Order: sequence, then C-alpha cells, then structure tokens
Amino acid sequence: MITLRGLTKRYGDILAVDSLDLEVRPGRVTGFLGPNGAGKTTTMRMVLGLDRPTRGQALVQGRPYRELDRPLHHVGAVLDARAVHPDRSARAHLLSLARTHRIPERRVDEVLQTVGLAEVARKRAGTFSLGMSQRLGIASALLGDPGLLIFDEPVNGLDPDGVRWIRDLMRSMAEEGRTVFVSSHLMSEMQLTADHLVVIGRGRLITDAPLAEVLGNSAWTAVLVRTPHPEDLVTALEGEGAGVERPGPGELVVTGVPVERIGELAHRTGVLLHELSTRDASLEQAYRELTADSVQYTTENRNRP
Amino acid sequence: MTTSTRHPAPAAPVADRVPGPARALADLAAAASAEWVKLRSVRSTWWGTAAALALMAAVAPSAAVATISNMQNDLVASADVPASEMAAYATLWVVQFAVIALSLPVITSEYSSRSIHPTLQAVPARARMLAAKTLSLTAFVFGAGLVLATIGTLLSYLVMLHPVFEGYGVLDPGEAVADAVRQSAYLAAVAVLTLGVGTALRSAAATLTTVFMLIMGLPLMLLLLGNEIGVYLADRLPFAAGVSFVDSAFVMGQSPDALSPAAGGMVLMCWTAAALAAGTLVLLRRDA
Repeated sequence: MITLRGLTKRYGDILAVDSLDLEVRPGRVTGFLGPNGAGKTTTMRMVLGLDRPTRGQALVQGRPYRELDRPLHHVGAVLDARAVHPDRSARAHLLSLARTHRIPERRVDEVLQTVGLAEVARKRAGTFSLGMSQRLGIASALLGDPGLLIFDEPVNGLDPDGVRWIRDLMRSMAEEGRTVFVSSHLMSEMQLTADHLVVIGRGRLITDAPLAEVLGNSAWTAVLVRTPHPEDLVTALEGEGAGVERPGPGELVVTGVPVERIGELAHRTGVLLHELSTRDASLEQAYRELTADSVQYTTENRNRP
Repeated sequence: MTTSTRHPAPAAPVADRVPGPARALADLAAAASAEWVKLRSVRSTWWGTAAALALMAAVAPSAAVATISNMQNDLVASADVPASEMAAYATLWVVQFAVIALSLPVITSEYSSRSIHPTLQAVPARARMLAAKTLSLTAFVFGAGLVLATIGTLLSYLVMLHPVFEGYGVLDPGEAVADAVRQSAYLAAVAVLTLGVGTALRSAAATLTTVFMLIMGLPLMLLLLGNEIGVYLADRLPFAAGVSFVDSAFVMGQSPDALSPAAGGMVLMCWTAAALAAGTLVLLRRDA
C-alpha cells in the first residue's frame, strides 16, 4: 500500500511532481503512466526515501520509507536495473543486500533460481545484457518477499519471453494479495498487465481509475452504427451531446454516449439498424488523449522553413 | 478486473522489532557485514591492496639502504635504524596512496554505478549506512596495515642483515608491534578521511584531488614557503599529524612546531571526524 498526500517535488523552477494524492492498493497491478518527464521516476524515488519531497508525504504501509523496520521485507523496488557495481557478481550484489536484513544465503540462491540467473550468478554484473540486469533487479526486489513491489519500466530490454515472464510474475504477485506498482511507457504492455491505471502528466494526476473504466470511458469508446436512415438518429444523438462522425453513407461513428443509450434512441426514433457495435479504444489512444495537454517534450517545427 | 484475494496474503508483514539501542546495534552490525561483502567482491579492493604490498616491499627496504648509506657517508649522524620505522617511512610516503585508491571507490563507485539506490533501499538510515562502511573499511585497512607493516619491517630487517649494512639495523619486537599498530591506525584514519570526503563530494575525481591536496599538496606548499604560521599549520594537517603520531624521526625531519605523538593522533582523529561529519551532512540532506 502506497499513500501519497500532496506529494510535491520542485527542482529549481520546475515542478517535477505537483501535489499528487494517490492510494496504490494491494491485490492488483497498478500501472503508472505518463509521458517522459511526467514525474514517474521522481515519484517512485520519493516513495523509496531516495529523494526528499519539497512538500507532502509519500507513505509506505502508512509510514515514510525511512521509518520502516527492515524495509526489504516490506518493499521490493527496481528503479534502474543497471544500478549495480559492474565489477560485482550478481550473487555478491544480492548477498550484500541480504546481509543487511540477515536474510539467509539460501534465499539468495533461491531468487537467482527464480529469475533464471543461477548459472551466471558468479559473473560480473557489468557483463550482463540489459535483460539479465532486469532479472537481477527483480531478484533483488524479491529477496525479502515483500508485500509491495515497485518497478520502473521493468520490461525495458527484455525479449518477448522475458516480457511474458515479468507480466506473469506481476500478475501472480498481485493475485497473492501484494501491491504491485509499475511504471511503463508501453501502453500496450499496461493493457495486458494492469488492473488499475494512474496517469500523470507534468507532475499532475490526470486519472486514477480501473483499466476498464479508462478504456470504457464514453469519451474514448466509439460506437459504430450502420443504418439506411441516419438523419433522424443523428438529430437524437446530438440532442444527447454525442460526437457524431460520418465516415461513409449510412455509417456513423458515435462517441460520448454509451452503446446501450444509442440502441434505446434508435428504438425510440424508430430507426432501422444494420449494425451497432462498440470499438474499444486502445489504451494507447485513451492515453494519448489523456496526456495530450501535458506532453513536455513535443517536437517543435516552428523554426523550419 | 477483479481485485483478487484468492490466494492467502503474502509473506505476513514482518512485525516490527522493539526500537532501541539493541535494534540499532544489530542493524549496524548487519549493515557492516553487508559492506564487507561489497568491499571484498570488487577488484579495486584487491588491486589497491596488491599495490600497497608492492610499494611496501619496494620502499621499506630501500629506505633502510638509503638511511644506512647516508650514515656511512656521514651525511646524517649514525644511529640505530629500527626496521619497523622503515616500514613507517614507506607507509607514510607511498603506501597510504594505495590505501586511498582502494578506499575511494567504496563510496564513489556507489554514485557512479547508482548502486547507492539499492544500498539505501536496504539501509535507509543513511548515517547507519555510512557508519557501516566506516566500520568495514576501518577493519579491513587496519588489518591490512598490520600485515603490510610486518612485511615491511621484516624485509627491512633482512636487508640490514647484509654485511655491507651491518651494525645499524635493529628489531625490537615490542617497538615493532607498537610501530605496526600506529601505522595501521594512520592508514585506517586516511581511509576513513577519504570515505568522508567521498561521501561529501560523490565524484571520484573531486575526492581524489581533495584528499591528495589535503594530505600532500597543501602541507608541502606551506612547508616550502617556510612562513612561520604556514609551518605551524602544516604540522596540524593530517600528514604531519600522522608523522607525529607514528613517532619516527626517520619519516620527515623534525619540525620545531611538531605535535607530540598523542596530540598528533588527536589532530588526525579530528580531521577524520570532520571529513565523516561533512559526508554525513551531505548524505542526510542531499537527494541520493
């Protein structure tokens, strides 16, 4: 469980994180989305006590991270998989972490086994591929068998097998009742992994809702209507405040009104329907709409001739 | 989209232990043992130790040869040449720089590799993290110092057994042990000084420059200027304080302002404590 209360981080003139209020709950995978520079990593760093908030609080199990007794048993986090001394072996890296909590050595070998690094356990971490580094990072997160897992872009650099593996891992962790908080810029990945979405842009909370709600929000779910007599229906729909596009004769793409309501209106106006179907918005699309105003680093073409 | 609680809750959250000195001490011991794993698992530690050994083996006997030659040529007054003080000569003039080289990455590599993040996730009490590093580094350097001093002392003594140098070298076991302990303490102090400066500055280059200036550059400059106040100050910088502490007339010519061995030890400790304090302050205040 993560609780953010008015969490704010300012670097000079830039508000990296702006009054974030959030609860990340156990038993589900919470996806943390936002464009680059939105403040995702900064937020996670504050949750882990690495950065001090300018204002507000980031609490883990109701306490600031620094006040946790034996934190690795509460929180397993990977912000940067490459953050390992390149000269140190995978095993020595994990062993040093284990020693801080008197976690027995066999647990180190156990997690190495779990992530599939047992055979390269004594190799220097600097020789690892990004995918292997990600696995090592995950091994370190699992070490203390924590109830809260935090991953920053965990599928970066993983091959398809690795991606599937971590997706399954996160899902099963959540099913076991743990809290899983994972950031990603891969919307498609979140669509497959997350139950709940938190979207931020420019350090501000844009949305905090179940995945289905974000996808199903009428603003983003379009309904395709085919009818030989669209005119009457268009009038009725526009009366409801719906957005109506007409891609072809006898075809309507309706947004802003749930499909049930469209069926009802058609029935009431006596319009014959040939087709009435929803087109699920992809998360990608929903996300782009959500963050459209808050993309900080858009390409500017102004100076081009 | 269901919030699944089909499986039993994970790893029942660990119950907090009773806070207090016992818990703090146990955590410090655990963190120090973790830091020892880190120290022994990187090559820089062993390269630095090997370099220290090579320098000791080369310089201590050479110092013995040079000192006796000077006496034989009446360049300096003849006196007994204790083998353990030849080791002290090597320790203060060269070996300490190898120790700085192995101490520096203990903290600066954490920042360059960003492994400071996992480190602080495991030990979020930052002062404890630094204390743990201090403990493991001190123990390692002090132990290595004893081995180095023993090797330097024995090699110097062996060289002085040669008929050409006969009659100068002495090896009093009691004195030799005391000298070895003092040299090792000096090396440990320099190691911790480096750790403290490194924690404050984070960059390896900045730390190396600062430590080298403090130990060598600054006192040399002050001594060469020869100004009274300058010399007085130089005698209170870590190097001269260390020379006073090690209490050997062979390391450097005696200065009129030189501190007593006890005072030298105190001043050295103050420098080390100041560096650690600076490191702790930055560690606690700055984002990791």
